[in-house]
Amino acid sequence: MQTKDLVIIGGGPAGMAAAVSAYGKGIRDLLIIERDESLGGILQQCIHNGFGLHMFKEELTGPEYAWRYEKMILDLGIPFKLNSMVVDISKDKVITYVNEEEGEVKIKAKAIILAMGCRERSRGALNIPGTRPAGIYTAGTAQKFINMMGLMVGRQVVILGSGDIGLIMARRMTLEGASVKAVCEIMPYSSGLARNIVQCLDDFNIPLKLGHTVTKIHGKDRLEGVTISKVDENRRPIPGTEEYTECDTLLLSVGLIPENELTKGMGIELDGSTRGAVVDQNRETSLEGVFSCGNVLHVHDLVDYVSEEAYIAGEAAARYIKGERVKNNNISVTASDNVSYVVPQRITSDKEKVKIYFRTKNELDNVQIIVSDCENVVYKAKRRKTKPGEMEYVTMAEDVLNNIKGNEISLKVIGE
Amino acid sequence: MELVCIVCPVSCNLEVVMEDGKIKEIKGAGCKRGVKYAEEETICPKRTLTTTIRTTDNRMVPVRSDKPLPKDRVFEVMEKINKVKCVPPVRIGDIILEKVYEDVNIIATRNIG
Repeated sequence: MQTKDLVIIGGGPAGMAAAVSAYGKGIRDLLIIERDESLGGILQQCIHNGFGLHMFKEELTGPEYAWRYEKMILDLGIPFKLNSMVVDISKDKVITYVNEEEGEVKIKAKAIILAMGCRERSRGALNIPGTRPAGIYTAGTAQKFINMMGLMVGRQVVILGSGDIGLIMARRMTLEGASVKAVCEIMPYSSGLARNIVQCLDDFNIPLKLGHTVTKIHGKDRLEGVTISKVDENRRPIPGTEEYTECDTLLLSVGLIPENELTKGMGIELDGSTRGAVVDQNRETSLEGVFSCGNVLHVHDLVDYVSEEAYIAGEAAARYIKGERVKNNNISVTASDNVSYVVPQRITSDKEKVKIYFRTKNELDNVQIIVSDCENVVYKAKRRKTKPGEMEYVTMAEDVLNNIKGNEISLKVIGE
Repeated sequence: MELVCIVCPVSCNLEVVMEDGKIKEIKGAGCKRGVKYAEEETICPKRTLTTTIRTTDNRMVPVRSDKPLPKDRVFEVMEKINKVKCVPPVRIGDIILEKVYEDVNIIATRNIG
């Protein structure tokens, strides 16, 4: 059987940055396995700009951001396999992939970085009543049809969900000549970036219907219209508020799910909130030598943060391979009041400062972030505002980590 | 006038204070680029256009304007873009359409071999 020091599953932004980072730390016997026909992952269909402001201090489109890393991979000569699908990874790190040329191949790796990204929630996850006509797409599928394949998906559009992909697609469909009748959002706020509400909806006078959802699908062969209803504070449709809107296309932008089938297959511990692996500050999972980063670990708002996280995983995998990884601690980090999740969920070394990423459950003003161990508050920070759609972090310095009592810390948020 | 800055994902809330039809003060910007955005947005709103152009062999090249365009010219430029096809290979940064509006060019954002 072939062997490799490091195999990276997925050649999107996380996989590419992890490979570059591991290479930078001296790993030469490595391989990226990508199922698509090019590197870059979902960035290749995100043709809009807004990527790279943190990482490269300029505003790039998705393909331009992908190319920055693709070029590094090519210049460094990091090997990658395209059109190759990993179908299984065993607990002893034997990776099975398939492709048209080689058939089924097994590789034994010393370390693995999981960078498979995420997929979209679909109509099936929402249980919208009605018929099952053509014309209902997830926003990302429509994006691929339009931007990569040059196929227009419809002319009269309703979008359900105001996440960034939904907002971006409202503008994209409008630029291509479609009429976007409304963007419906079941929550009282949009989870998308404020800048996207301005430049994707307001610029084109597209109404954003907060506190509304689609309650019925109409049409036999092709979608003919949807019923839109107001919802109450418990997100239940209010009878009598139904309005019929004619449309031939419904785009769903209703959340992303980390793609962790391979991770589950290895028996790795998952976090019910992030739906990704439970990891330590190195992004190492419960299975030694297996790391996870990017949207397969938790869904990020910005690709820049994906790259940043992948650097952590890449460097840590390199240290693990060289036998330099230190574990001298085992503190669990838990999400408490108003916090929906934290990453990492464990801290296994007090030798280096650790950034703890988290999301709040609600929009809050004048926010206090409080980290406590079993006895005391060990860290405090303030923010003017937090939103569920915008990831936050706190940095715990070495001296803070050294002074933690017990083996658990919790992070809570107080705000107005 | 209240604006949301679109320069970067931080999306600062900006306030433009006007006096006698002129900008007196810009509040809330987290950086200099936000101040510039608020000025422009008040006088002549501009947007970077991103779209695709078809190649002669029917593949899609992602493209963008190399500078922001006046917002009210976006659909006019889209029409120009949709009338042309480009011949591969295309390299990232290649000018696909020159001077679609004043000195704004449309450039490729991906290599298409």
